[in-house]
Amino acid sequence: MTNPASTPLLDVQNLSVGFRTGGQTTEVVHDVSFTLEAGQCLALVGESGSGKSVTARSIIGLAGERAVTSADRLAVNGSNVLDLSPSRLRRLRGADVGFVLQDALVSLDPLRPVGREIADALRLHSNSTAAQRRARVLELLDEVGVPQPEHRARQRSGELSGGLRQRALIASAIALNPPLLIADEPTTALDATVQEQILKLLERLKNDGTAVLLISHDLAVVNRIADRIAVMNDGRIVEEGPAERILHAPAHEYTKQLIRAVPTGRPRGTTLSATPIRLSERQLRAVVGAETDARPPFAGGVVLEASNLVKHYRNPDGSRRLVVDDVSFALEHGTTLGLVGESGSGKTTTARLALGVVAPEAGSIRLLGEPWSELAEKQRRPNRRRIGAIYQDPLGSFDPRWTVRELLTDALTFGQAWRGGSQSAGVAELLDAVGLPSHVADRRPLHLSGGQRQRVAIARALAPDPEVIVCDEPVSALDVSVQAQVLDMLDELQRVLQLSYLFISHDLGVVQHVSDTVAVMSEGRIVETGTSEQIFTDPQHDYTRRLLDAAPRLSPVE
Amino acid sequence: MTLTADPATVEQSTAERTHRVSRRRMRLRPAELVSGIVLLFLLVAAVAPQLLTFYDPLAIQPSDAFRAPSLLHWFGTDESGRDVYTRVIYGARSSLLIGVFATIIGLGLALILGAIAGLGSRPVDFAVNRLLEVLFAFPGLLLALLFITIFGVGVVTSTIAVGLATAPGYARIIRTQIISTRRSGYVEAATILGRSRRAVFGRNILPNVAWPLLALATLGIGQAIVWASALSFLGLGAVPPAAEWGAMLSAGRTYMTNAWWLTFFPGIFVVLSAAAATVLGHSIQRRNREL
Repeated sequence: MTNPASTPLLDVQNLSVGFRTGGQTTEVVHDVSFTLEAGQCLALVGESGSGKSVTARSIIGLAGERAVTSADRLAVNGSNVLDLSPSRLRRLRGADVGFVLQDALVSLDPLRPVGREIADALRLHSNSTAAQRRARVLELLDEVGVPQPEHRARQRSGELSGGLRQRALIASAIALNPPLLIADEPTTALDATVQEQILKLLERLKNDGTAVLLISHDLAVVNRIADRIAVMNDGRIVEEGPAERILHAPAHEYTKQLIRAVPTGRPRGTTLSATPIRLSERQLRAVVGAETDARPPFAGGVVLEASNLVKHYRNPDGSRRLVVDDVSFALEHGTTLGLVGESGSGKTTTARLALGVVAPEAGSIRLLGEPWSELAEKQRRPNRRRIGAIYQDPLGSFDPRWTVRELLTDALTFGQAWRGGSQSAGVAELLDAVGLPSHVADRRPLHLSGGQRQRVAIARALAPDPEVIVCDEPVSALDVSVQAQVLDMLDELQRVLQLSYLFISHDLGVVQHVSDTVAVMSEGRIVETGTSEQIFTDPQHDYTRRLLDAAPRLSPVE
Repeated sequence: MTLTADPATVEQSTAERTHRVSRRRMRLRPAELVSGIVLLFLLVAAVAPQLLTFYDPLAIQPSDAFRAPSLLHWFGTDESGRDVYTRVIYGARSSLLIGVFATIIGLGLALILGAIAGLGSRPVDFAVNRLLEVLFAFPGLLLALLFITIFGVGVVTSTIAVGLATAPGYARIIRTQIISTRRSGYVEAATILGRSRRAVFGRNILPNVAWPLLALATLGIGQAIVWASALSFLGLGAVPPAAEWGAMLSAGRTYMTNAWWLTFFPGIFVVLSAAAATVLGHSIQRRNREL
């Protein structure tokens, strides 16, 4: 390794990357420059489509066959990547640069034990005996914190949990002690506590002298380990500087918007989005109709009440697995109950129980003070319009053959049954209510952006004028700015229409921002319930504390 | 989407993308065009063969036996002096009819079995599945042969036989399609909106199962034509002197060394019709996917 003081380990000057399509080249990365030294972490931050991943891939010559890369200088460890022959480039990858991708499930061969995958890197880039390699693989797995390395090395990637898989991938990336590690969204699909472990691992590697180029959309994650941050937007670096400065005194307007859009630690009701979709009360009234009197007078109180719910699922081998264990909660009229927990904790099953699409084995649910879960589907149907749902994946909840207009008409015709048909809101008014232009009506959801799809889902949920909406991870798949718009919109809708939300999320920041009361779920049980403030400032249960500690945040907790 | 982007440009680019997608979907590929022409030709031949030829497919003219292809007899003549082109054209009707009806029988039966399995309770699904596995254990042709052995040789029995033999495969596909649609997010969404089971079946499940079936049926017709020809060739379907491609192949096989045109032209038509139906089926499938 060269002296880091004289030449930086990674030196990128005016990098531009374009993609050939047909006869023309579309440039997606414009004149990007940065340097990275040993023992440092530089984070490239931006939203989807900002060019951060393409930039990272160009560094190791993997931007793709159609990519046209040009740069004044693109050097790793002193050698210019653009001049390297394909075989030298292969040596560079692995030996000089380790690469960790977001989805370890697709990065690791599903048919081969992970130990062999890691050994491959060693076999290709060094002269070692099989026995040496085996020993080194175990050592690496141990190093990245995989318990029982002998056992795990023999398992295939599909048999490992997300966290273990990601650690195995990191082990293969650092197998040859590369001076530079590029991690592209390494924790995005992971639970908070697992994410924390991966971040700790990256931090340790950094402290041991590895240069880490971290690609992420998540400012909070970046805040945890980055020394410097480069903010990318539309293929350009709009601002670059020390992490502390970027996060606490951003200079560029885009960086400010990005930071403002993060819900963590922002009190309820504050607007997150820089370009919020303004909803007029008149529009909203039009949607639900003037017939506020048609709504059965609900005096307030508890709209959705679950008592002692129990639900098992059957494993493939026939044994029964407890997924919801003695769960009780109460959702007050016009408020939001946040249900937070990690994947597999039973949140989604609880949501489906509340929606009455699965029946509890024990316990009951009451909707607006009336029996709900114990009814037969036929009796439940007339009251179905009072409870709606918004999912993480709106696309999957839309019939693929239908246009937006057909989807909304379908939801509206059901509403008309009780509206009497006279003042039914049209599709256009519904779209208006969620800030979508009317020409979206004739599109298929497949051709809409993620944010637009989620707004169509909200419009559909609003169509029958429900009292309660169950939101299951409604913003998890969205970029932070789009997430901010959707959260702002849900907030406004709640205020005007007096909606009650059961809001399910793994993201503590989002839950804290939207919730009045919070229930923390772990392994099928609600371990702690309280007001949002109680839970986030004075957690009582161990698990809640662990969860809060693990969540990366933008500013240190006071 | 970016924070600073002007909403108008974002909308515009989405619109462009949609436009591009729909244009790509609309564009007819050369193979699809050729297949369309072939099928149209066969359809005309099946409906009104006299428009395409002046000869009688059964008229014997011993003095003209074994003429090589010429301007007068495009595909030559056979051992009895019958015009091969005319016989191929008249053969289109029985081949297409067998193909279509065999597919209808196969799909109809499969729809019943698949729907019972896909919509029924767990034990019902189990029972139907085991039945399908038993049927799968026999090669389709063997099943067809068995049926013909029991019910006798002929066009009708061979059509039914081909239909029966293809049913288990279709039934499996239909069952899977129904189950995956039933478990889909949009069926759950419809339930949450308060739709009755019957409405969900009619509005969501049926269309999403039926449209892929159209592609499958088109593919099936091509396959059924080949099967029916094979049965006729073995002397188990249409019997000479009927103008049927498989029967013509069988009859012409004796003279293959001297009169290649007796087998070549019916053979080409079997291949062409099967290929055209397959291309069309795949193109329907593709359009379905890109919807």
